[in-house]
Amino acid sequence: MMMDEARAGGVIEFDVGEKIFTRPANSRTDDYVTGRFG
Amino acid sequence: MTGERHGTRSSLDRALRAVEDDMLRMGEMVDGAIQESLRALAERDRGLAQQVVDGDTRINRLRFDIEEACLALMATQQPAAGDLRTVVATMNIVGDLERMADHAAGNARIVLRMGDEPLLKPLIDIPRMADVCRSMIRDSLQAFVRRDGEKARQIAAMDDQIDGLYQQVFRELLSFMVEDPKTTGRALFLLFAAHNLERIGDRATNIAERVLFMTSGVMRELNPEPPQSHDLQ
Repeated sequence: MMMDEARAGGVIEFDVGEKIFTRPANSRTDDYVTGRFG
Repeated sequence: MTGERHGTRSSLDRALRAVEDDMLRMGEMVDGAIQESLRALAERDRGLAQQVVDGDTRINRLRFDIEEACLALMATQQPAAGDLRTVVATMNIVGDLERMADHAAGNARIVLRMGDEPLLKPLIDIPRMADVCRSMIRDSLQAFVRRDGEKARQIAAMDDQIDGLYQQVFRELLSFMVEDPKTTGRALFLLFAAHNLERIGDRATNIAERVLFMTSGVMRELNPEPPQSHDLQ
């Protein structure tokens, strides 16, 4: 769940943990799990 | 909480930057080894050839240092996603660079073994192969720095040039050997040198594949077809 421009929160990406933490499809997910924001 | 994360992030960034700098330094050393081994071959400079052989130890040591730094980084920083792929790609790339340096040292050893025997023919395609190899290394490391997956794909296509040149060298040297079997020894020296460069091209392609993996998460071979030059038919 992340803040986006249009509303308070939105699902950016949904997948198994292994994929989210190794090769997320969305660059915002990547930025989030690598601690670049949030 | 946010400040804490940013602190962790900057420490990870520093560690990643240090590893990347060392990898680029290693790339320059390998590039230099290829250049010097070819110069030693062209000028029949055994002193220079010995320097390339000796320098290989430093490259091997740097490879292990970088791998250890990557291990420490993973153990202490728990990198994820793009960061994790960067560290894994780096570990693979330094392995490929180290093998390239071995091939360059192999060519330097050929110069030492040739002794005073004259070159069978003037060097034309072999230096061209070396030039393409060096471009592939420089461009693939630049693609790494810029996180440029598209450039990585283009680099892999350059390997076709190397394979084409190798095929040409192979045929030419084969014709020398067939026409006059006494030339076999001298032909094989040049064939081994060309083969080492062909292998360097394959390793450079591996680097491009790792850059593609790092930037996209996609793990696949960029040049899946084996070069025809390996066929003896």
